[in-house]
Amino acid sequence: MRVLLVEDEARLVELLRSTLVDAGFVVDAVMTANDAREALAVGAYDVAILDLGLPDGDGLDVLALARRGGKSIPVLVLTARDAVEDRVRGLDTGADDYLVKPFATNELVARTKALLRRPGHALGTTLEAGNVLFDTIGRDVRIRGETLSLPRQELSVLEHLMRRLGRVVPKAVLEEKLYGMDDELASNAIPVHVHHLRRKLTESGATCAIHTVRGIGYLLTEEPS
Amino acid sequence: MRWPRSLQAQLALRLTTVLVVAAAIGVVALFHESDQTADALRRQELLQRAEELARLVDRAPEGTVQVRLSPGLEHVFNSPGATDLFVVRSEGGNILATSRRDLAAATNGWPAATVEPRYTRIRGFGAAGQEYCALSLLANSPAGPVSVIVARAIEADTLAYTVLKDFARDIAWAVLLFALAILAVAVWSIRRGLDPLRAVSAEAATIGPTTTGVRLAADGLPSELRPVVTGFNRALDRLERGLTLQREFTANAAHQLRTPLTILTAQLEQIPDSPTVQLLRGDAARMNRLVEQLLRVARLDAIPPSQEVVELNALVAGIVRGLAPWAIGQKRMIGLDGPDQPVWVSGRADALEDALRNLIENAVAYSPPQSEVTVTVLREGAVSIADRGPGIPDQDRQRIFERFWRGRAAQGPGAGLGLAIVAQVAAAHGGSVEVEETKGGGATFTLRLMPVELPAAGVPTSRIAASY
Repeated sequence: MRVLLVEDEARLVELLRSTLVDAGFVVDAVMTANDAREALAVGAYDVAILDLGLPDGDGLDVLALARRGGKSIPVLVLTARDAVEDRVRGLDTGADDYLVKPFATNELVARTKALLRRPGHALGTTLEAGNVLFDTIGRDVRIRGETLSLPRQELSVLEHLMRRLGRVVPKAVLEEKLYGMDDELASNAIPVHVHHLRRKLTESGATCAIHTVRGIGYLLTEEPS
Repeated sequence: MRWPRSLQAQLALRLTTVLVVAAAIGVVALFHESDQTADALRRQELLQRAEELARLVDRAPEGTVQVRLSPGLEHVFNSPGATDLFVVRSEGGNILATSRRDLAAATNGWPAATVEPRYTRIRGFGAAGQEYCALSLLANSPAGPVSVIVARAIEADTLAYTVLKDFARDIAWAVLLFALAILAVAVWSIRRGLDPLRAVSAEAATIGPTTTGVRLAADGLPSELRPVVTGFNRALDRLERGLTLQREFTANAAHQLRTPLTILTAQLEQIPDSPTVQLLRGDAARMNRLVEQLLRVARLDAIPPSQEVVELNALVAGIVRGLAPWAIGQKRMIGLDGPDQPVWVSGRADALEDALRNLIENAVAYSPPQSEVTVTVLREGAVSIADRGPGIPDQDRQRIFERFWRGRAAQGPGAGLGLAIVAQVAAAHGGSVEVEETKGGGATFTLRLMPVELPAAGVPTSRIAASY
């Protein structure tokens, strides 16, 4: 898994590099907007981590250029600016996610992996959360090597929670994914599916848990075993 | 009387005063002048009368001196209601002839007449208060020198006075008309002259914190007003520069402070666990939070909220979604309740987000593990955040909103800024924040904002939902 890290602060580069390497990534780091442009144009990276405040230009310009050039590489933006306008501008320019400094390095790793878990990206075929493995092509779930058989609806819910590991997935999004699968989508369909899924995961000794954010949706987190 | 502040009223008042005073002086001067003229005419007439009378004195064959009046003079002196009187005396003082005895009596004590005519004003005989103009003259007559006194009632000149009065009245009308005309012209000129100022005022009214680039147009303004507009524009330039510097400072400070903090935090994460490292991590987290809040304060101070329209359900849902993973990591639950229909309030999304994040972060920090922090969007344009923590004692419910007040912050992770930010945001939005007890224990903070009807077309609405 190759990561392009664009960051001008040398000490931060070293820290992030070691963290990302520990998490199983191969890291290429550049420190200027110019080098970033070249690296994006040439290299085949799975994901890019892009700091916005670069000595020779704005990271957003680098991003805009890459997007105009047809690059669909997932980009996680690091920013010291946190005003809403800046964030919206970043996402409008084509960032897939953003992280405001200061951040915890494990959060950076989690977000980077989440980008790769999106359909069509490097980790999109086999999802992992704790000891749960989800093969999105074979549509099967394994926990500690044993297959957990789940109905289609529960598979779909689990898949989307795993793709957004550590982040809240709105109930409305899950309902949308299930639309057409159930003959009639009852208003409590999602809570019922989640309830069953939660029980089955616990019974199988899964080291991940589904939390309810009442009024919004659900959140899958990895739990210490 | 208070002096009016309006330029129009001032000018009108002053012009009118000048006009009235000028008219009054003119009339008085005219009266005086005409009085002088009438007096001179009267003297000349009296002198002629006296000389004529003297010529009519002659000595009768028997030796007595007599005055034979011509028919003309007879009419002047002796007709009923005559206003002209005379006395002719011999050089020795004997009365030779008179038209009225009391005049003779009144002039008895007069000094001897001279060839030089002498004019006097007399009263005290005839009709009460009647004033006469009198002339005494020593004149040669066919019967030798005689002393002649002629007098005329001053009122006899009524004709001249009537003419003058009429004239004064006509002048008064003319003055009034003049005054009105001048006022009209003055008012019109001022209005026309100040019209561009009204346009400039309307322009100035559109200048706000988000439109600092607007400058007032000096075209078409009277030259007297141009310095005001150019001065104002220069002041705007300076203010804009100041605002820009302040914003840049905030942004730069954010970057400069956050990058080293990120490094510090990351480095601490990689050091193997020990009690000291854990304490240092806590310190770093606290410093992160303090920097974050200081920057929020700086941003709020620099940019007052503009009047956008924000949908509270979407805003609050976005914030809760963003904070939920952290809250769950802290072993707390978080829940959102809200009405089905949208709740629009006037305000600025990022400022409101700062305030609500602070309230929710506080609630999570002070909640016992496994309890739920309940966020509720209220239909009337308010958000309440209820926790199950220790609550806020009655006596602290005002002071907790002061900057750097270290009450519950002293024991907790806060810097004492969070609630001050919330209070500042609330005030800047014309709203309020208050705290009460949650039913069953804990604190419930309620941020009340100004609700608005469905936003009209063209009002910028927040895109906050897009950022999550």
